[in-house]
Amino acid sequence: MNNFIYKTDSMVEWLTNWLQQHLHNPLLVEIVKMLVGAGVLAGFVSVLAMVLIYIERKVAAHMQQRLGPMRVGPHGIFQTVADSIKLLTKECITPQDVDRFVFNLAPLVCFVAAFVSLSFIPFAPRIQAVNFNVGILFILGISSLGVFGILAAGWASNNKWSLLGAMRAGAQIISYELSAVLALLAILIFAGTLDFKEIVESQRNGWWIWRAHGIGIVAFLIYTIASTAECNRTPFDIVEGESELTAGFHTEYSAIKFAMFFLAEFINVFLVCAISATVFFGGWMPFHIGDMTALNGIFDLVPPFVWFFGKVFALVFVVMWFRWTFPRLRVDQLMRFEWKYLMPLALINLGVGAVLAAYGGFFFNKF
Amino acid sequence: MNILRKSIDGIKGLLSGMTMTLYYFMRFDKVITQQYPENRDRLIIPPRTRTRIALTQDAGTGEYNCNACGICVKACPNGSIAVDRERDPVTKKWKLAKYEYRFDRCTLCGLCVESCKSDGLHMSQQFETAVFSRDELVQILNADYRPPGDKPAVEANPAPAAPAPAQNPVPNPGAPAPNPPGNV
Repeated sequence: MNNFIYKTDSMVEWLTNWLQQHLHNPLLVEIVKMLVGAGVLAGFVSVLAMVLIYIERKVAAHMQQRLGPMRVGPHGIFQTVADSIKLLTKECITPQDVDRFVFNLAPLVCFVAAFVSLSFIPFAPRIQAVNFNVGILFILGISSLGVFGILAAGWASNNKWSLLGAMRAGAQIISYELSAVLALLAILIFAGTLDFKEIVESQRNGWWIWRAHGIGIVAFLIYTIASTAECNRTPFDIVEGESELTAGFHTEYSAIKFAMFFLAEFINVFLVCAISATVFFGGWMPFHIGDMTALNGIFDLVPPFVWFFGKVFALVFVVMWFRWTFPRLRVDQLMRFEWKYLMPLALINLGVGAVLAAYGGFFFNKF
Repeated sequence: MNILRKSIDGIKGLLSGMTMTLYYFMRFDKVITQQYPENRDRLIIPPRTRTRIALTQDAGTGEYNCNACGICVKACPNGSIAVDRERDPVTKKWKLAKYEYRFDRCTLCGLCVESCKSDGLHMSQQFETAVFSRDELVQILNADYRPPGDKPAVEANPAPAAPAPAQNPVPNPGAPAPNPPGNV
């Protein structure tokens, strides 16, 4: 089963050897590799945001029986480039009596929280910017720092309604984080590790969503719902619902600061779908079923990064599908749903999952 | 177990909504948007579209159906229509002399078309009616005058005794059929 490691493994090997020939200090080699990783990730994030925004607009349009951007470039593919240029050249208006330092810092906090978390995701067998043995714990912690950015933005805007939106956002995000983490935990018990690379490796015999049968499916559904709420997307977007509090916590932001919030939202969507794909759908693992080597051979022909991006974009499509189908929940309905229904369900799921994992009640266990 | 039944109903409702959006997502032919300047030669304008009005011509003789009764003048809520008429010396009936239509005041409400009893008015489905000067918006709709916005090739002046085509200069598959012959 080794021939499916398409070329990323050897690419990283080649890069390491080349660097070692030219710089004879192993520490320097590591530093250069880290810088290369950071640079690639930064470029990737920019392109990814543009692609995701374009996809969102097209998906939204076709679900509403219209066409979306069609004029800027063939079928509107340069629309997001035009929007980025527009946002870069707009004037950054700062209202009177804002808390300047916090006002300028808030978008950066949101963006950094989302961007740093992206470095832990394994995109392909050795393409992973940071390998950390408590990867998931770290990601869940860092991505929670996004709430700071939102609260800071709402407070510093000197605007009652922004503050209201930010408070709602804070309450919503910290509530739904609980269910999201509990849902992930149910699968992590089966996988036995918090390290992203090991989680993907543990799915070599099959993806957790079907290997941990009912628990996997329920955990996946809970995680999808909770993470849609985490990203402040419909049906949970009372925070920034464009017809409610104008634009919620980012009403007073213009130009590049608004672009940072916007970027952070889309990177968050990608991040959450990437975590979901890694934990539930096997990351870059092809669709294998245990020991059926003939079937597995067919699936091995597709390179791992194609598997990864295919899964992530399918999940991103589902999240967008939710947005353009469902109406918005009121804030009290939202909180009630989380605390009275979703969290107890996630806890029960975790309990049953723990029992099953202890007694080996899942497919292709090693017991 | 009311909560269970309500949950299952809820989930079924959500899934049915999602199937509908997915259906519209997959069906590109059901897109309603038309990309305007490129599709001018195959425009589909719904028949009830409210556009500039025009006098209906009899298909057989090419004469206007309008008998200058003045009901449309009374029906118009803001006085956009003015009718000048003269008595025909032979038949002693009123005949239309000048049908003045002020397009700058018209609200496209359609009351004139609805209230006309002799099928004399219809919505012409011309929407490319921008002009450069306000004077061009006071239009004369009957035979001797050319309403602005028409292409010069297809004239609103009917040739007498020629089967008059529809008055729409932009060829239009969705245009309403001209009045059936035999209407006075």
